[in-house]
Amino acid sequence: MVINVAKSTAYYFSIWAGVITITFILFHVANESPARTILGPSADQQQILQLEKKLGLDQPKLVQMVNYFGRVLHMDFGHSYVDQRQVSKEVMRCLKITSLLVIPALFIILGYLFFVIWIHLVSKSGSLTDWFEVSARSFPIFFTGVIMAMLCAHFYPVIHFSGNLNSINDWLFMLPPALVLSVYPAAVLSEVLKKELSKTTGSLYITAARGFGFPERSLLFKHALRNTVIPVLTALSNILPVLFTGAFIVEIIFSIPGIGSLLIRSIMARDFPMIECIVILNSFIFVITNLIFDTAYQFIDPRMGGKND
Amino acid sequence: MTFKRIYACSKFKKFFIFLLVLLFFNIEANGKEAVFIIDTPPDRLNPIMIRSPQTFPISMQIYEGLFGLDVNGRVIPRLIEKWETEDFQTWRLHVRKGVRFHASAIFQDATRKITAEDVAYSLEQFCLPESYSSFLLLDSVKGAAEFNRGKAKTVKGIRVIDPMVVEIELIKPERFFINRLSTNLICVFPKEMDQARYKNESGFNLAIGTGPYWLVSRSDTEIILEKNRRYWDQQNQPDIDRWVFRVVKNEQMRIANLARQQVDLMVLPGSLFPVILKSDGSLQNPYSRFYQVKSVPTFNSHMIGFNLNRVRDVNLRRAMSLATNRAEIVEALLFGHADVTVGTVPPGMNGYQPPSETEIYNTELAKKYLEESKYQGEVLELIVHDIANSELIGQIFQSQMAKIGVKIKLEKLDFGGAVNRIIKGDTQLFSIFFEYVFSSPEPVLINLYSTSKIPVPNFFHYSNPVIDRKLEALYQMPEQEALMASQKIEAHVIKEAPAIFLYRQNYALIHSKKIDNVHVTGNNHYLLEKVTKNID
Repeated sequence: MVINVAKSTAYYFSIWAGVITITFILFHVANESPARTILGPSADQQQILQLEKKLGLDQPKLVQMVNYFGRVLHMDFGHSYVDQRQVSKEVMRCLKITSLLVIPALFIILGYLFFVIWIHLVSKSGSLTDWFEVSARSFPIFFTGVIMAMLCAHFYPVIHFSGNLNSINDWLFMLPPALVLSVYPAAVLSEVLKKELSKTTGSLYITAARGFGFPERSLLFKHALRNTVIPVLTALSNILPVLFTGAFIVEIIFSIPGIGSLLIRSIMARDFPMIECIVILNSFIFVITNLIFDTAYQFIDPRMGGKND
Repeated sequence: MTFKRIYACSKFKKFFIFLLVLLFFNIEANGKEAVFIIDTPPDRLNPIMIRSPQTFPISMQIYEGLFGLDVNGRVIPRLIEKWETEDFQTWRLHVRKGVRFHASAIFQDATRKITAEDVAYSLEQFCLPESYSSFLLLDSVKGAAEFNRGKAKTVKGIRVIDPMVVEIELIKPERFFINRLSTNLICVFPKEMDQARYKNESGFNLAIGTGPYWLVSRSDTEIILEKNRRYWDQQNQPDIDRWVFRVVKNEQMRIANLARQQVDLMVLPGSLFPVILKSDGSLQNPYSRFYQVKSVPTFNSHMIGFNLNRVRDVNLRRAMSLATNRAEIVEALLFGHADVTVGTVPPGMNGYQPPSETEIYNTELAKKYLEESKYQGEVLELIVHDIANSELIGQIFQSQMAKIGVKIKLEKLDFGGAVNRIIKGDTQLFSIFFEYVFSSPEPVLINLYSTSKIPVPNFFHYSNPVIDRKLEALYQMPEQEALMASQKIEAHVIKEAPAIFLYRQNYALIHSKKIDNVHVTGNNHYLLEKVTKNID
């Protein structure tokens, strides 16, 4: 299993290295001089050359790329072109706010999945939630977001986010956007869960165990769920990074100053260091998520690790 | 409810009571607090880096300029209490005594008084290449351009000759130099803010000035300023203790804030005019119960510019200018919250000449000029962008030009992209606006029409040696003579139609009926220290 984990790590980090390389090419090679972007169109050539020397942009591209990799590994993305703020610090600050959206959304999704399991236990049929799931999968996130924002504007008591997280209002403000963010993933995961639950609880070994008089609850939680969870985890590993990108849209709709809002602002202002950092960070989240789930599968089902160590 | 009974409650009820207690203690006493809604997050509050107009209402409360404008647009002393010059080339500025910076840990003794060193240091910082306001000084102060290009370590023309006196030497005599400094864009801040250990914080949680308010906290969605209890200007002590600037981007949320009376002051964006205002510019119900709307004149001028290298036919340009129904644009987009202009100098500025009716809109004369022109029906490209109603202006303009037979194609870009193309000269027509920071017409005309100012800010690529000589002569003319000369220069330039000047924008400022004395100068300086609030 250790070898498999090491192989997965090497594989995913090589993908991440590819993303960093492509980012470097896009932002440093294919673009106009960053010095020109910083100094503006009316700067003369001498000023441009001076600043390029200061930023190390006069070095050969290969040397620049090596230095770039070194800085990325140290999480040093330099300073913003717009106002010289430290890029990594700003992105981490915004990521913290985005996490406050994503984590409650995750809890809502998990809560909904437990609800689905409970319904299955009680009624053995999922038709109670089917109508909700069909609607949730049909409506795109920007639509539900806009509807929720309009409803909140009229009826929700908290309509402003101060950003300081010092008051409970900030936390309450996050609930509707977290709900919006969780709707589609909850519907998708619930469908996968219900299908797998039906398949597993209808299988022969469960029928035999029932015949032996095992309690239903024990059958479900000790035996059936473990076999059901793998496909759900696979679906979750795809959904998790999408939650972060979905959060971008929700942030714009609800004016939350997270990563999504920062990305839009940076794109409009052509603040390339900021955009670079967000792209690389996003890809890192994808890589880490996939790595965690790959490792988790092997713990849940040792057969998935290949030959045992 | 006694503790015993609370303890006897179920867990759910206990949690609910806990939440209620938390909410109760979270409610803060407001006192005299006012909320100002803005629609974009502010820039970094480092004075040399501020460029967004949305940030100035905040920064101008913290930082103060050397001079200011009163409500009538006249230059008044602020941090400089008096000035002297014998030849308009060397200026001695006397720093006001007893003005203190806001209290902060960056000072050894919590605060200190400003000196000539602070003024000189600040002026020099504004000459740096990263300074947005460097254009105000670079072509005027001796040594500023060299310093800006990295060829000098200091600005030769800025000297401290006394602990409270700064001497500024200009490249050439300039009678209206003080007008360049009559904006809070050039302000005074302490050298300590630029120390290495505060460099990353400066402009975020650290913004130290001398203004009527000091920065308490800031995030991307909320900035809180509190009254400076040691403010030097005894006649303008702030009435409101605390201003909360809230960033609300979503229009539904802005309307909700208004409906719930959670706003004291807001500049109404054009997109909300149909929702909040009636067609005559007054407030709709129910907003009229709790709010008032005030039209605040500014020096912001909107225009459609020509690239004179690409649209050389003066008769075509005159035809297009005369065929533009500016009043229709103002009514359709701004519900009357603008003044139609045909010239460079906006209403309210010294030297403004109101246009005659025939100069504003005359389709007969427009057609006559079109017949005299060499226009053969080719399509002209108009660059529009994503702010200040540019695209809508372009659409109305396009339909108006179609009536006289001129074909216009719109090309939409983001504002940054549009400005890049305008500067490169890769345009025929372009929609642009200027926020004039000068308070007199001479520097406005010099910057817009001098050959030496091509391509920035002379976006039109206007070049006329006769006008260049006349503009040069303005530098040393006495004030009244200069005003007359400016009017003649402007009249001459307007005949060549380098741009179709559309309107001078007024802000539609909505304020709660509880607050009063809302004043904004032509330089977009909100005099929040004058605002009073009735909390009954």
